[in-house]
Amino acid sequence: MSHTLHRRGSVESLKKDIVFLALPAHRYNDQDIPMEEVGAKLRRFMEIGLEQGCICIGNASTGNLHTLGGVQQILDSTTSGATVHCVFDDQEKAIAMMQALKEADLGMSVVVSGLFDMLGECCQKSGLHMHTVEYSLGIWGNTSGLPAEPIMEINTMCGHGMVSVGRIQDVADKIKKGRMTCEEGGKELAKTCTCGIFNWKRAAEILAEIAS
Amino acid sequence: MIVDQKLCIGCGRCRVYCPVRAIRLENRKAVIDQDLCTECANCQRANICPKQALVKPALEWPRQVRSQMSDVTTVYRGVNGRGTEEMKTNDVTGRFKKGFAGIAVELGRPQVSTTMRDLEKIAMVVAAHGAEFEECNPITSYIVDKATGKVNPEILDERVISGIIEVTVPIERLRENVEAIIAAADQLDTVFSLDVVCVNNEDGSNDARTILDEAGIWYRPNAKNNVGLGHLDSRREKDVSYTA
Ligand code: SF4
Ligand code: SF4
Repeated sequence: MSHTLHRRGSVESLKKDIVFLALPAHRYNDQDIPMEEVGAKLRRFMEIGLEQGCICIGNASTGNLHTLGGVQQILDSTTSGATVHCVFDDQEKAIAMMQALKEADLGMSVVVSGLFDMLGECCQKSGLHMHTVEYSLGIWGNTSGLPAEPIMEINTMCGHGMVSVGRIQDVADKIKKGRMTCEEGGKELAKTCTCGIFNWKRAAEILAEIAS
Repeated sequence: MIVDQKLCIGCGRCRVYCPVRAIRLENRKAVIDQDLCTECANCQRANICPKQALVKPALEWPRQVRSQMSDVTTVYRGVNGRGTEEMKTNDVTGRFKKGFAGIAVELGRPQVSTTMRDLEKIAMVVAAHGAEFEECNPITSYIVDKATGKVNPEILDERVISGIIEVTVPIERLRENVEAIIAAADQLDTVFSLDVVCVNNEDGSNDARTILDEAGIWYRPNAKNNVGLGHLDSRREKDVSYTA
């Protein structure tokens, strides 16, 4: 549950981190609609995301930009039911995405993760209504082994924990030594987030803070 | 995961990809701590080993549990990952109804990993507070007694990247459950990420949010929102209840 929830960071930073996902409802949409038609609807969702200026897309079942080799390959791999994603770094683009999705009426469920108040405004401007909300109550338990906050901000952008702390530190180190730019570092870290929800652009900004 | 010692040249590139730091170099060869390894396959999927020396062997019970819960490529009842569709499709399934709230406790997240023994401690807490375990969730299939939250004893020492306990409670029991979960946190060797799900009212208010506010329970400014675009297809002829 909730691979796009529990992202950490300041409100300023989270303003540039909006994740859309779409999927068919198991036992409902996937029973009523032929699988290839479901695939076409999910593909259209990602195409709309690209038209509205998202910074990356991904398919949780087939892969991300790195594992599949490019945007076209992700679209082409989406031929049946899956959870698909589009990541935005700008509120105005997110509003345009919501408006376009409303118009397209794909019938698939859409979930948007981001700052609650900001998304409320986006919904209002695009004529959508929040149906169900999932709130993050933070991290509890033995937190003594957790890394420094900026590393956590990057690590939590892959909800499955596949962007390892060791690799984040390794990339930050390479940036400090001038062997990689922050943008290259962000894209490098995105490779192991198989769902494609990792916001490489925001990661690049956090890496710049770590390296400075 | 194991390292083929004949192939490994000890370059060390794989080490930083392991989320639980299970890989070390010994005598100029990579070695994987089998107790720590969660079988997530991130090291292998990263495709950075110049000698293809990282090998995922056929896993036997109960070690299979590690891979099932940790490897993101695993599909359980139609869904990738460790959880379920939960609120993502609630606009179609109506799984979370008015008057109820969902609670998810993801043990091991972020970054720390968990044993099923720690997971059982929290499962027992919510069971004692009348929570109903989500049938479609893979963790629920390992809970042998839903009334007590007891987990299959054969798997208690298995370590996974994370495991999500997903339950539903009547809204009036949300506060007691959340408080009991938080109170149990200091019994754990690991961490957990906690979240609460609730359907919005027509006026845009949310009963779970009201309860959290009244109880003074903090939540993050960022949330996950189902924006109500999903619907039944016109081809649907009969209704089915939301079951696995
Ligand atoms: S399978 Fe996962 S936990 Fe095991 S060594 Fe590889 S990265 Fe680490
Ligand atoms: S990347 Fe491959 S060759 Fe290098 S240390 Fe790891 S297992 Fe050995």
